[in-house]
Amino acid sequence: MLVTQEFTVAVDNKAILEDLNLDFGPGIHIIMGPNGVGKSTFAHALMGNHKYETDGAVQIDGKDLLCLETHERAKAGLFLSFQHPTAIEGLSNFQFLRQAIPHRSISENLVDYKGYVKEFGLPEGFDKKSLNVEASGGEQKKNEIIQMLMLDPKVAILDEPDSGLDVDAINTLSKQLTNFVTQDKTLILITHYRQLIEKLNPQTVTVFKNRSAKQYDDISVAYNILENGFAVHD
Amino acid sequence: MTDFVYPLKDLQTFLAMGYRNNIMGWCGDVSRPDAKLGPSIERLLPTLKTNFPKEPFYKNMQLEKLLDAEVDTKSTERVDAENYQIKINDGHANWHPRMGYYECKGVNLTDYFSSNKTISRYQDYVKQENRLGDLAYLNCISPIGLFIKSNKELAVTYAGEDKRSLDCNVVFVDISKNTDVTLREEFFSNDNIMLTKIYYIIREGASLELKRRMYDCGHNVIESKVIQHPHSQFTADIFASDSQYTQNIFDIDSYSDCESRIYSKNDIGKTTSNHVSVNINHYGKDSKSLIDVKTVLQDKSYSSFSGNINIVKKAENVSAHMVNKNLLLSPTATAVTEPNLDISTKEVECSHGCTISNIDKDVLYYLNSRGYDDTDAKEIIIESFLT
Repeated sequence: MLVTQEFTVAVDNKAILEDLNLDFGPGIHIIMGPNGVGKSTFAHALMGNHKYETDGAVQIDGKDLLCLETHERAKAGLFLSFQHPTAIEGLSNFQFLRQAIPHRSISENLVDYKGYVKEFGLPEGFDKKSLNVEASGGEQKKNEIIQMLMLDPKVAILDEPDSGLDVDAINTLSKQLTNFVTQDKTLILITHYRQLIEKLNPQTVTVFKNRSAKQYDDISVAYNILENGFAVHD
Repeated sequence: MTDFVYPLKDLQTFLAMGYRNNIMGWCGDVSRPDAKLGPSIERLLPTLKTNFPKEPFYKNMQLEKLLDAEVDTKSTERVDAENYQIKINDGHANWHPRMGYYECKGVNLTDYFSSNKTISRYQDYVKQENRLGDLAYLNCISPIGLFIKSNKELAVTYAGEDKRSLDCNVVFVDISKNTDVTLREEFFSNDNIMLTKIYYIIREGASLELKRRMYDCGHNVIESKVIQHPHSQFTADIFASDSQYTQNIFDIDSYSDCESRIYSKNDIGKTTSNHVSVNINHYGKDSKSLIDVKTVLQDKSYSSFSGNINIVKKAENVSAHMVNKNLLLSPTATAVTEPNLDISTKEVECSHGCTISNIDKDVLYYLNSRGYDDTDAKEIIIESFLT
């Protein structure tokens, strides 16, 4: 569903990631790697962040991604949950989403949104609160996941969705993510959280290191890293 | 007199020639020794001629844009307005023929023609300020009085002419003790010049919620003098967009245990010149005030904000806050902001914060990542900024 070929990412002509050849088919995939190795950069470069220069090719569902603007990539079916989502005072959580999903009625959207708010244990009236303003880290993460579920993308990249979530929220998250991929979707998680990995049982693990990335079909690689650290892959 | 065209800056000369005169000024209670402005047109004009365009008050307000605007003495069609109960234009006030007077028991609308003694008693409020409001006073046909004696929601329209004429209005809004009033004001002036001075007298225990809207006007100067008696409340919710030239000026005198809140939202583009000035004078104890002015600027628009909080020595336990935020969406737009605090007592809580910023690229990217193109994303940013 999402394929990268010779994908290179640079900032000010300095390469951060080079020649990545990765294939994320339908199902769950995880990305691991040491701090600062470029995992989030990879995700944001795919989304079209203005800070990054890219080269190579990326396709989503057979469609060239890199020639598209960020909003066109979103409309092509790509979603990225931010590690640190932006706060916008004066724009309510629901208003933000309602305008992004114009093909459904307001009442349909609101019913679904409130259902997710309840399921994730967010406070009543969360829909009316300003987007990510005075929200805890956990609330922001839950909101990002709710946005993903409402927008219903083909490919979702979640950047450390587990950080700041309590045990109940992790259970809800894993349940919702499992449901999400049953619909022939691709889910890519940047995570090092054992409990979540165990619950989701991903198909591949991609390890980022030294400006490159290697993809493994064997999930035991992830557990090995969790037990012994990244040094074992040198 | 033959119809002709002149720039607004020549108005004083015409006034000195007796071209157009304020009825109260000539015929008011001239015997009163404390009548400062009414009978003294001859005294006032020479002072204004030399001083008022140079007043420091106007230093950021591009006054030349207003004074160079041309006035045509030929009468044209008035702007059509429907949803009002009272229509005010060029010193005349009328109830709406179908939805006005009968809905408004407890409200008296008067002008100098109908009751000169009633209007004259407000003469003490009129002070020479070397501002355009002085010209509004000198050039208006008759001051108007709006006396509200019971809880009410009222809609007032200030309707100018279609073309470049000059409308001058002086209005006294007097709200009785312990009365709650919501006043909706709409300004329509198309291409003309409107100078308006409004005095809001909010009596003890009364409250006024003012909702003022100004859309696509020509040149509009509105000076609002608010006198808040003890235990009164005043909230102004102002929205202005895309007029050629606008001054929205508030001078508020707040006595003990008053609350004053000014929310001004301005969404301007093209070559609009938009100016907001709020001056709050705290004269009494235990009062609160908030000035919150936000402006979005596009194209070659220009805005200025001047906020002044003055707290006298005896006004203890006052809480006063001022915020001015400007969002610049164009490299050719200009915003000027100037906050001033003058505090003469220690027992106060006071703050101010003024910002001028561009669109945050990270915010734009976040909205893009949810499928909004740049145009829609900017609209969302503007809307949420002004909320």
